[in-house]
Amino acid sequence: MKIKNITIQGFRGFNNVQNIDFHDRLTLIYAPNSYGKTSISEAFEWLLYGVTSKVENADSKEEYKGSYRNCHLPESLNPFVKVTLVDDNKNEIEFRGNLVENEIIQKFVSGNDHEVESWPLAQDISKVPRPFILQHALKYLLLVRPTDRFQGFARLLRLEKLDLFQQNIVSLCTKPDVCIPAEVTQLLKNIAALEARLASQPSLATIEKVFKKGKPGLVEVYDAVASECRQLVSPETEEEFILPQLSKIREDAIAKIFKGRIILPDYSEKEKYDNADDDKFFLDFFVDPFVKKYTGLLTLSTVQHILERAEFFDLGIKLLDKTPIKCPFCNQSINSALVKHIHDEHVNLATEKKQSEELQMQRTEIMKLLSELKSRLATYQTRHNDKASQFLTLKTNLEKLKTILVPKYQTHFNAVETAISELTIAKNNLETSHSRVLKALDKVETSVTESKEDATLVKDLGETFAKYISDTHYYVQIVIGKVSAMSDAEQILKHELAILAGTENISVLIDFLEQRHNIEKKFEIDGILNGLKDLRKSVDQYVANKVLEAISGELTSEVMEWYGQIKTTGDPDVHFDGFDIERTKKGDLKARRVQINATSYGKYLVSAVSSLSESKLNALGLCVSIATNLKNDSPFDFLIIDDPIQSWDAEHEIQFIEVIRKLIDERGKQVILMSHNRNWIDMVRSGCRIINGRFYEITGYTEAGPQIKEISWAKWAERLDEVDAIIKDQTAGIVRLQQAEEEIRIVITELTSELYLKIKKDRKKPHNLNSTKVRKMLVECGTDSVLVDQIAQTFETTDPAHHASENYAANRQKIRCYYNWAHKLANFLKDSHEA
Amino acid sequence: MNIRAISQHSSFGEYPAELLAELSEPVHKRLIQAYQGDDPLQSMESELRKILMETLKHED
Repeated sequence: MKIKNITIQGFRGFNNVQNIDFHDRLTLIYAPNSYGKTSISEAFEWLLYGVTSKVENADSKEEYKGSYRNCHLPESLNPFVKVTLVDDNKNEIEFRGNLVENEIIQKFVSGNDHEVESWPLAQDISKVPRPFILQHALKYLLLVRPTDRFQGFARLLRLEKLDLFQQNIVSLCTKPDVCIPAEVTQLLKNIAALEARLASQPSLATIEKVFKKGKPGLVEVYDAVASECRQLVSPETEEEFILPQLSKIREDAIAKIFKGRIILPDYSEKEKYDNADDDKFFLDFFVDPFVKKYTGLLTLSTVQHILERAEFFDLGIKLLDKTPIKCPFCNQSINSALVKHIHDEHVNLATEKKQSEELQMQRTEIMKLLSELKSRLATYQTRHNDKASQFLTLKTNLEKLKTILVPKYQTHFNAVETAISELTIAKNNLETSHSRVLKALDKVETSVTESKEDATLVKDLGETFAKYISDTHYYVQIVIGKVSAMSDAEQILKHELAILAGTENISVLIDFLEQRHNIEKKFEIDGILNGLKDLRKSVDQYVANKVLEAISGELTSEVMEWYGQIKTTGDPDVHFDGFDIERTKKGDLKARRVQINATSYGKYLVSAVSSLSESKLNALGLCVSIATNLKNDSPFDFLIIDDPIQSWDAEHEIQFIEVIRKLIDERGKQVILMSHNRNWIDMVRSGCRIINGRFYEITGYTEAGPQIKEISWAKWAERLDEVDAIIKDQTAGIVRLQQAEEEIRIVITELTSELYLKIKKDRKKPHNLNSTKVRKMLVECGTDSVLVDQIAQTFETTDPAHHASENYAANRQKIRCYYNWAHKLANFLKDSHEA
Repeated sequence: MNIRAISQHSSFGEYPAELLAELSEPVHKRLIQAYQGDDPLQSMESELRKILMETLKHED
């Protein structure tokens, strides 16, 4: 697909709506710096990708926030970019992007009102290089650290996801600590402490040596442990009694110094689950069904006395039935209306009586619920209460503990002292709250059994329960917070006691025997964590190979081919020699390091980046972009090249014109070339004269946006001189003669346009003119009718789009006539006067 | 190497299978297989956490 035109309003440097038509092969745009030419390429980029590479690559996205909308655009207007694309079959499609709030693009296709999610293109454009060659992007590709260069190439070759994958693997493998669960950390810490204690025992050096072998040395470790243990117990001791005997030796020795341990166990997974389950049960209990049922009881209890009244009335009714018109109690006469009233009242009471039966049922259920609550509460309280019970017995031994730990382990002793103090308070609070809950529960139970339900009792129970749960949570928090520090203190205490009792070697051996399972786990976990280095290495090699495949081979050849085009004959022989991935001394690929190779007179250069001049690196960057663009299945047949020749000498600038011609002629690309260098743009125009492309000059910049003026590709006199030369050249074939004819027609449309502007003060774009329009305009300008007919004849061999018919045959004599008539028109323009 | 082929593979989607074939360590395979979703790093970290807990809890 090629670009036919672009319309921009309120985007970047553009304010007022402006349209630019493009030649299907070459369009040149010249503008001094800051005149808005880059806004044109950015508008294309934003429309196609929803973001410009400048914003995408910015270190701080915040800095570019709001930069798409032109600040001078009236608030009532929305910025938009509209592009007409043309496919190989000349079908046109229009893409329009509206910039709306939050920098979002709304996409519309060919005037359709329905917004589309993505552009209807045959290929996924996010997977192929963007058809833009931008200087600022090239700088970040080459003149950067090898790791950044790696990232730049990954982006250019659309391997970003692979790049991100590697970065994530590096993050996982270098910082696995964040993934280690607390239980695993504790286990590793305990075994590390044991290992340190082992190292402090010279008598156990054999075990230490084999322990360092890790998992493969485990059998040897336990052979050595067994051998050491045997030396400490009586020779006839059977295997299964070795550990108990060692423990006894140690405990006896230690008991002479200190009794007690710093044991504060953590809540197990099951206990944590039970805690959560109980908490939920307690919460649900007070919401439903207990409160509902108890409140129901309050209502129903008022029915209790109705029941009694009903029984009384029942007796009255029976008696009344025997004496229908006399009161059964006082024998006073009563009328039939009163009798009816008494009967009705009785019916009502009978109904209420039925309800009262529910009361008893509710009471039974409530007692059951309260019993369940009590049972659950007892288990809950025991679970928490027991947790610190053993630990708090240390309180009586604190002074003794202090003499053992202080001053060497003052911090640990302080931690134990604080833990005892805080846990004592928390446990006391917990017990107080618990007994209050029990009392409140008893009161509620009594109220039910004695049928004296009272809403305030339930309120009290709820409040005491809430306080109890809160105290429990605080207590749990303290326990969990102290577990690790107390475990450390216990290790130290054990160590110190063993030293004081002279049993540290026995302690170490006991721990080895007791913790065999944990030691095996530690080795397995170490294996997994250390193995992450191997995973990283595998991924590094895999990714490096992928990128190497992408940057070497065909890409390198292609880049070198284009680089060869730019290289000048007078250049010193210091040149680019391909891309590679840096390697280690062993020959492995280094991770994320793209290297540029260069040679100087056949000799390999160690540092290519420092040896290649900026202009050569610039040329190389251009070649990389061109090569990647040409080698990918892009739906776009255009390349937008923005300011490519920075820091080049004149010879290189001319060489690059050849590259442009090749891109157009040999690779079929539509090139849109922008530059701030007017001389070079003129050279491109001369070098590509035959292409007859479009040339725009941005002549100024105001609040309204850039002032864009289309300039004639070549002067009409030069064109006619060339036509004359072709006619005179007897070797010129049909293609050259056809070119001569086309040059004459371009001259005629340009002269007609100038004449019309001069006479009618109206500018018509020459490239939009055809035979009919030219004839009409010439007539309007008062051109002699003979000349008008002659000029019209110059279009006879082409269709309205200036394309020659299939049976076209060149005729030198006819072309000479066209040439003369073009001159006549030029003279008419010269002699004509403004209207 | 054909650059055109590279561009066709440029979505990461097809790479893990290729990489998995090169890995022999089951833990590494599990981690790579976990590389998916909106936050693939977090997904791998969760998998590693799971693997470590399984190792800790596993009874021989």
